[in-house]
Amino acid sequence: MGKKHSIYLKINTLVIIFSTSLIYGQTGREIALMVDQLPSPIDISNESTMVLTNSKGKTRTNKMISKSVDGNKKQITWFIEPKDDHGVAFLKIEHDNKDDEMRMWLPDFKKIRRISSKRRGDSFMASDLSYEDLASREIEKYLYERREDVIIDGVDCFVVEVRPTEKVESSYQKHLSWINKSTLSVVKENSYDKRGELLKIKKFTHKKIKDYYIMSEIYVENVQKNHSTKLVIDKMEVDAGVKASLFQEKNLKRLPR
Amino acid sequence: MKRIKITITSFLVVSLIQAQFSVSGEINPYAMIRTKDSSKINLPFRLLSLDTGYSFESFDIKINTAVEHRIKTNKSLLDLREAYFAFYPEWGEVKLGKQIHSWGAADAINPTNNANPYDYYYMFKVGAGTKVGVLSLASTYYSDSFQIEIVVNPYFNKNRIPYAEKDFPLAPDNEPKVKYYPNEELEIGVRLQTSLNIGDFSLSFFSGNDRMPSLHTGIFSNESSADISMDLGYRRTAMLGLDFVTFIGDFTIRAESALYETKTGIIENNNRLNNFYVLNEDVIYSQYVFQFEYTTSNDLMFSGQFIGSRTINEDRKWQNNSIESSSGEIIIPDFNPGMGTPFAMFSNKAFLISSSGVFLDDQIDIQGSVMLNLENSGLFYSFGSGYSPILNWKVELAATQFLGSGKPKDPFTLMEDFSHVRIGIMYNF
Repeated sequence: MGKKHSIYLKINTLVIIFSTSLIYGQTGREIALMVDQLPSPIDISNESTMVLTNSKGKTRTNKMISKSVDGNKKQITWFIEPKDDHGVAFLKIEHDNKDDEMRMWLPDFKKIRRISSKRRGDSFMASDLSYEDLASREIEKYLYERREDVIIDGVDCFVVEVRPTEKVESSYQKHLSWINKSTLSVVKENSYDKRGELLKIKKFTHKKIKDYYIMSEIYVENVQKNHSTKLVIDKMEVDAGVKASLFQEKNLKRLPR
Repeated sequence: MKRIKITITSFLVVSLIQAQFSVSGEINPYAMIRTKDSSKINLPFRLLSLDTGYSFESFDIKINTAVEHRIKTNKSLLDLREAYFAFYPEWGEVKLGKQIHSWGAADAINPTNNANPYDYYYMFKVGAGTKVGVLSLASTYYSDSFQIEIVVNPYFNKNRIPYAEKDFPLAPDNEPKVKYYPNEELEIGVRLQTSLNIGDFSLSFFSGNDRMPSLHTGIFSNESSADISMDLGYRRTAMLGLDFVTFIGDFTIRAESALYETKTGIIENNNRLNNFYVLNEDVIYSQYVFQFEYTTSNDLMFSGQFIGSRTINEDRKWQNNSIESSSGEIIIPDFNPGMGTPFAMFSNKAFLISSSGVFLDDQIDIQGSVMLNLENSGLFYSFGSGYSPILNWKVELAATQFLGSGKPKDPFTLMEDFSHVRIGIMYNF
């Protein structure tokens, strides 16, 4: 299984490198497909720090541990700090043909609370990231339009406009994504609210681990609220053999070791 | 023998190296000041709550303790709220020890949550803090689409009532002497939950004993209502519950309903008194909560709860040596449920509206709620806010006001004296 997967990844990587070096006339959708088809780890485990900064420069720090599989479609997150949230945990399971499932473990109530997955625009732990920002985008539920390529911070980028279709509930009208041509990783994204006004500026930093380019830092600025969130991955492990059985309610109750 | 010692020592050493200790908790001193005359309310509160855990492989040991303090007497009491061992096999979880179980989909008011007694000192709090831990064995089996939980309590457990607490208006003046304890102490609960696309649905069953005592026997003079003595006991009660959570548009609906059947146990007339009567009760009653909630784009949460209870069928009579007394001779007191949510004693029909929100990056939290008695004109409202200028520290200010119907026995009227302002500090670690 491991060897097969490794060969598959190598072929995939070669195809992508070959494709990106030859075809620069792709459509927005083709670029999105290339990004979507990038090799991704079977599982990711990380410890992260999320710093929220308000308009007065005051900060608040959250720490959490997260594990995910299947391109983030199954994710479990345990909150470590602030201390009043210690032990709170969040389980998300995305489904292709039905509504996603989201559950929270509230230790003070000793209760697992199912929460609505329809309100994807709600803030994640009072940050500038919404549940929608954290969810994976299904190609067929969005429209893609390529814009003029640009160079930002010395990186040659594709620019693609992404618009949600009626198939997906979204709190955004559109996104503008800057994609590194050589790694096909998204380096920046501007998201616009339903009125078409700029709402969030997101910047992403990636780290190469094994054969993957994995997000190691996310900076989100809500320009309308003058508020920002910086999520830094402190420790990361990929393909560590996270079991599918981890994504069960019972595991919300136990902080991982 | 030496080999066994080495094996045990090695196991303990390996366990300690690989294990994970965790300690968390809160320190929360506060004072309650009566609105009417600014006097202090003399009731105990949890000054310190400490949750400790020890995890090794698939095993956990959890110990939750609290230091309960009373300002007026400056006395503290250590309360071992939970101490249990948990094992997490692939298929689910098994827990053994003193623990608190939480059943039900609704928030705060849960008619199906009966495996633990209530702690009436904390009845206006929310969460597991309102319950008393009991020795039990619990196991949950998880599959992809359903889960089944079984709880077994080997011993009888009763509510913690603030007897003779002058500052708690609903408290009885004295702790009554209870004569009839359950013959059958064993309590069993089963809960089956299934997860569908539209929501989670649960069916639950609990067979146990009342948590509140009720009138069981009386010795009457000349078969009249002028009693010589009355004795209390605990009835056997079975509960069948249903709860669900579903989502309609941007609204979340949580609902919970429980049907109880309560019966007086067999009581012998051991002293062969002619004027010894048993109040034989066989009553079916229900409690229910229908809750809807909505969260705005600014993370303000609004919820409404319709809370109700009613007696469906009652067969209640005084019996003397298996001969029914004729009606009118001895007055049959009103029925009092011994299991279920304590809010049922406030009203048979009430509506609770709540709202909460956090502002300035969680630095300020504000909650408010109003409970309207739909049967009479009583209501209570509360407002609470917390300000956290430094991480993990919070200053709390809350106010609770009761307004009764004016009728002397109305719980809202009785609670008017309990209307208060609460000021406190909370430190989480």
